Amino acid sequence: MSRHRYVRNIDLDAEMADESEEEGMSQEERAQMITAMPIARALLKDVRPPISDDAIADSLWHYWFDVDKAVTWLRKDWEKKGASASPPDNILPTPAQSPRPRPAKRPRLHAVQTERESSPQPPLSALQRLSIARKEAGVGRSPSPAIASSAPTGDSISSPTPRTGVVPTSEGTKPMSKLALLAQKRKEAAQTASISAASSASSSAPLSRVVTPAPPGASPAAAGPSSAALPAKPLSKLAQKMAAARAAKAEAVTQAGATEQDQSREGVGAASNADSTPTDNVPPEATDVDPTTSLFIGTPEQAPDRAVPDPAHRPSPFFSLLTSTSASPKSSPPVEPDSGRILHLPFVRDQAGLERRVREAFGAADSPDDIVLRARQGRAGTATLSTTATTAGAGAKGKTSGGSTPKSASLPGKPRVQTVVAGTSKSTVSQPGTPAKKHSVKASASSSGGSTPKVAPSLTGAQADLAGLHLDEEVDEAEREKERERYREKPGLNMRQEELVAKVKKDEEESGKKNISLIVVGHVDAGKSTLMGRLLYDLGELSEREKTANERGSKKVGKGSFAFAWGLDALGDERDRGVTIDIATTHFNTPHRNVTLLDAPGHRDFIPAMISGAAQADVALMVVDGSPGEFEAGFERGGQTREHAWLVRSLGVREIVVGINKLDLVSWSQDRYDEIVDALRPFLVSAGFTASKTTFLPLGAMEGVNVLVNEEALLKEWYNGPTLIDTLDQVEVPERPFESPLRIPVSNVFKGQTAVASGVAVSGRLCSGVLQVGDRIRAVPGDEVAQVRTIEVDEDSAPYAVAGQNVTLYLSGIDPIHLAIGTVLCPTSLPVPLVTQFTAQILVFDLQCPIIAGTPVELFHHSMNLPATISKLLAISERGQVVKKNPRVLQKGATATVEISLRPTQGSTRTPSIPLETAAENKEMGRVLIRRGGETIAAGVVMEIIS
Amino acid sequence: MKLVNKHIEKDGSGYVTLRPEDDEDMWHVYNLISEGDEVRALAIRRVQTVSSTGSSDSFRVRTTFSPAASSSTTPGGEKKEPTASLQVTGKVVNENDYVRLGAFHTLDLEANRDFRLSKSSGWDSVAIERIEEATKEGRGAEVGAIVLGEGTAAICLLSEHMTTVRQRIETSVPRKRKGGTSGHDKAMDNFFQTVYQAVLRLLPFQTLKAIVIASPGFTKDSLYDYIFQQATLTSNKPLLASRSKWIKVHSNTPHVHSLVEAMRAPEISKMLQGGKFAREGQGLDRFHKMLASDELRAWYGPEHVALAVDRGAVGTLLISDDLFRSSDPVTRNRYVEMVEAVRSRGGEALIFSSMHESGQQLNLLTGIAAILTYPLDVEIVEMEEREEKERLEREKAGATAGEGGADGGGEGEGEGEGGFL
Repeated sequence: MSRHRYVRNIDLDAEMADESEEEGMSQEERAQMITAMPIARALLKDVRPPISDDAIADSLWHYWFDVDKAVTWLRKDWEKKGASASPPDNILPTPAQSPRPRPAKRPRLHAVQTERESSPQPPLSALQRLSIARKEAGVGRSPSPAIASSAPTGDSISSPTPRTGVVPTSEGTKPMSKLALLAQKRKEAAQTASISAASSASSSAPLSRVVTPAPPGASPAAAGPSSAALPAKPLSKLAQKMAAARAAKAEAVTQAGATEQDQSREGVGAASNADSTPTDNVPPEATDVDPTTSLFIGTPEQAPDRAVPDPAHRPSPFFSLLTSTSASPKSSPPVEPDSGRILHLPFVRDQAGLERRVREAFGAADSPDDIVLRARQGRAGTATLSTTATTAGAGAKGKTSGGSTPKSASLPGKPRVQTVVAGTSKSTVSQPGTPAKKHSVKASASSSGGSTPKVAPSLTGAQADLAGLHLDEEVDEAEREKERERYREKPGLNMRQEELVAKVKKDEEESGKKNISLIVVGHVDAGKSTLMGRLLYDLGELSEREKTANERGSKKVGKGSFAFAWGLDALGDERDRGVTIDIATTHFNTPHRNVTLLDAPGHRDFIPAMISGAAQADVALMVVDGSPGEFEAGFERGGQTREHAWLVRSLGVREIVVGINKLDLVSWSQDRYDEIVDALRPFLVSAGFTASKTTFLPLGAMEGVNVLVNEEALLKEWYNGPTLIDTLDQVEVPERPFESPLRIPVSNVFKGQTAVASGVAVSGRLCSGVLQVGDRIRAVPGDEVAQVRTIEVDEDSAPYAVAGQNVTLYLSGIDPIHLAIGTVLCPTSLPVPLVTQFTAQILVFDLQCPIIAGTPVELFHHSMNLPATISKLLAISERGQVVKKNPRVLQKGATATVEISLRPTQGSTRTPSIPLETAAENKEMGRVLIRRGGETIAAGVVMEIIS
Repeated sequence: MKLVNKHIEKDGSGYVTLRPEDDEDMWHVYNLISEGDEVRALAIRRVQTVSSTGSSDSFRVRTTFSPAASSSTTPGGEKKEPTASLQVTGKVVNENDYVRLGAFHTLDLEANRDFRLSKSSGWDSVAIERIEEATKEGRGAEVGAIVLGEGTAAICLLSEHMTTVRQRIETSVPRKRKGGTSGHDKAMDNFFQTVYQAVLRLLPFQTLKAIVIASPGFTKDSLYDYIFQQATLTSNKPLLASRSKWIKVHSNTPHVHSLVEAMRAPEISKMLQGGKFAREGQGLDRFHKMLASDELRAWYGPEHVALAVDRGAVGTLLISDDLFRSSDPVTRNRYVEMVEAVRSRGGEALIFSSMHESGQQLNLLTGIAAILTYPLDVEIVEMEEREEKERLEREKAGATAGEGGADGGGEGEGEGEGGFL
């Protein structure tokens, strides 16, 4: 579904109303937690060293407050880790153990962090707090707990200054995401003062947990200052310094007022002193914690009083930066004065002044419309900023909109740069690349980032924001989305082609995942299917159940070693004979690639199927049998290794990964590996694969050695290169001809059998162009037009498909008899021409009998194969120069221009034809292969169409 | 075909009376009759008479016509039923009561109806050989063949001189897909069922010498198993009894042209003991192999082969019967002479039937090819020919200037042929 539509459909009010509940644990959950906690603690009493409350709480949350389960898990975990493990370690379940797994996307997080680092801003929306926390994490492993820690505790302290805003659920109750935990852990590790930090964090945990949400109507400011009063965590010197320096540099800082400067200086100073220097800045900083309210109204008067309680807790430099007003000139670099400064003056001054200044700073309060607009657009901090400003001035309305901002931002879209910036709101704040996906929190309920309840309460604020920003939820979200989408027909986008192309390009750029088709080739019995079965199993694409079933089944027929291959060899014949007969198509994901896997048969009789698959591939994985004698058998004349290499190369595959399999049979001998590599390398170069596009890997498919990981000691001794999956993750993705007219050579026609996707179905790969649901396409040969009812990409329905993807199309308005394997689907306006005679430039391979005019051959084009004849030999050329015209014979290795005619079938009056285009028009539609008597004798490209 | 009578003089004049019996005979007749030949057969013609009063009357007469053939239509390769017939059109050369000289008539030559043929250009060795071949008792084996792949099958009958595709079967078989292969299995079952029915209908397996199942991969085994499983189920005794005649052979493609490969298979040639198609296939194969191993000993194309024949270098001549059907008697003669020349030197001349796949493949290679007994470089030979011609021209010029060159005629024998090509 289009994101625009999604945005349009959002019920703003509903979204906003939900907001408060989603921020953390619900009341109910909190209550459950409170009851469960003591029980769990009692049960775990005997464990030495004691398990931290945070850990307990975390696991309770994970197990939905099922005390028994949580305790069991904790015990197990504890035993495993041993006493040596530091408390923060064990609160982080290992991925495998995590009962409610949330994929943590660390790389992505970092990326965003860096993006956001430059935008510290005083208005303390969730977004901004997050950015702060991040910054800290990113900068110097300075303990962000400091920021957040103030939040939970803050609630417990009464706030003296009631405000118009409603404080949503206390931040303190917010569960901490694993990400945050991880970040924290790292930070702590880096810190010299980590121990104290950890202990303080854990000690504060119970406190925060007990906290109940602030009653509606409570002043937002109240939360702020009060929390500020709580002990801030000490920062390591290093961390503080770094953070301060970074902050000072940051562009955003330039907008921060002079006060901020001061504060940062102070922060640095504090850090350098390494002693706790409570400052006045703390209170305003504390306001950060409240996401939705107007925040920079830290009650200045109270701040100084309260700020001192725990010398160990000091503000993070960023908070200082943002909020401090005290001018303690230290070493911070000069910052340009900016109107942002004005913003923060009120912090230390009087409330009235503050409000006034806010208005000054932001100009007239935004109209509600503006707010909504921003809310829709927005993930940019600016929006939040301005809305918060409004809130400060305009009360409830402004506040709601402020709250809604992150929410609506949660659309599964990509971040947009905020263009509408409130006039005076210091537009630098806009933070592109921050998808704030609050709603995912709601949708995923406890599975969201918050599922580790207040392990480090000090972090919770930031934590919540993180969750709100939905960074770690993307996968969950995507999956859920997938589930939902799967059973829904996608409406057509009805975009014009150019728009769609633009959108596709943009999407691809943003997602960073590129589609690639991989064909697995090699001599028969090299272990192609087994390797792929193993890979799929290791990746979790092949379920344990299927695997066991296959194991049992294959053992039963006495082919135990085929267990993994059976994952792909599904046909009865294939299983009976232990040979792959037809292409098996499936898909899997690597971190940067979306791989369509085509497992090709290796037996020479099934090369037509292999060609049909190779024509759909971008990259080839050649599996070579490394066991004694077998490599040679496959590589010598009559073996498929050579032919496959030529085939895939001439079908447009540029990159090849050579997996030398079954090295376990030669006990991982490096000599054998080198011997094979030395034999193959020159050959592959001669076949047209450049050395840089050729990778060699030692593999053991049966045991899965070097497939996902290399854990074989013998192999590790001499090989430490990439594993198979690493290599596949880095293969180059060719440029796709999106702009060319649509061409889909059909590789399979079948009847859809599921309830959702029934009717005529065809599958194939888009050679070029784009396609969307609702398009009318023509099947060539024939004069039939069909409508695309559903598009399935990798077994999920999609609104559109683009060149390079393998798709299954469900068509309506066409009888299946008009579709055959080899039919080409194309736009009604630009059908592919039907050809009976054409000239082609061919490269002659290793062949037994030379080619002469009139040689009867089989012509292969995608999934088609037709009898044809080389009717004329026009010229032999060398390096682009014609060296001989009208030759009598073509010997091996020759490059020649020939005329190829299709042979009429005996006795039939129908002239045969094939949908074909010249290579100049469409590369993939212009490639042909020529075979004779079971061997591939030449490959060519169509130069000119004669008739 | 029955030879009713034969009156051929030494000089090639004379006639034969033949009675064609089936498709293949018609194919022979088609190859025998060339333009200008006189055909005499019984026919029915509607005769119109105009009386003196001007009223017209029409009636049918059964009479004998002798048109000189001007064209004949080939029996289609893929005929529904064995209703072989050949049409010969031309001007009547022998007047009778009903038909005036020079009137056009189209004769239908049908099975079991005698006709008399006399050749305008005289009976040459190739024509006589063909009559002998055609009238040989128990000539040739009939073999049934099924060439198939997944979803495609061609059911063929092979006789000595022709391959008839009796039926082509194409069903769409979905390929294997993730999550269930039931579609594929069901379609394959359906496909085998169709093939099985066609086999029962079209292959007289009781009289055939052998039935060949050829396919790439395992399809042939699956079909074989299916057929006999079905035969057992339906207790089809004759089919079960013919089991020993069924041979499974590997072919590289599911196309009909793989029959050539299939027929070359040793198990088949052994079974068929020198069947014509087997010999043809082997000859073609030899040629290709020679081309690969020694390009100078494998020549093709009428000009080049003619040169090789002139030099007496041809060991095996491969020639398609297509070339003898030339409408130009001179051209036909040239090929006949080439065949005779090769044979006279102890060489082998294989006349390929273009109704066989191997013949068609030869047709694609210009219809004529030769395996030489010793290597000859085409380019050198061509150069020699050019020089020879130049010399000849010079001499001719000299001869016309002076007297008439006597020895020029002697040389010209070979040259004249070259000129034609």
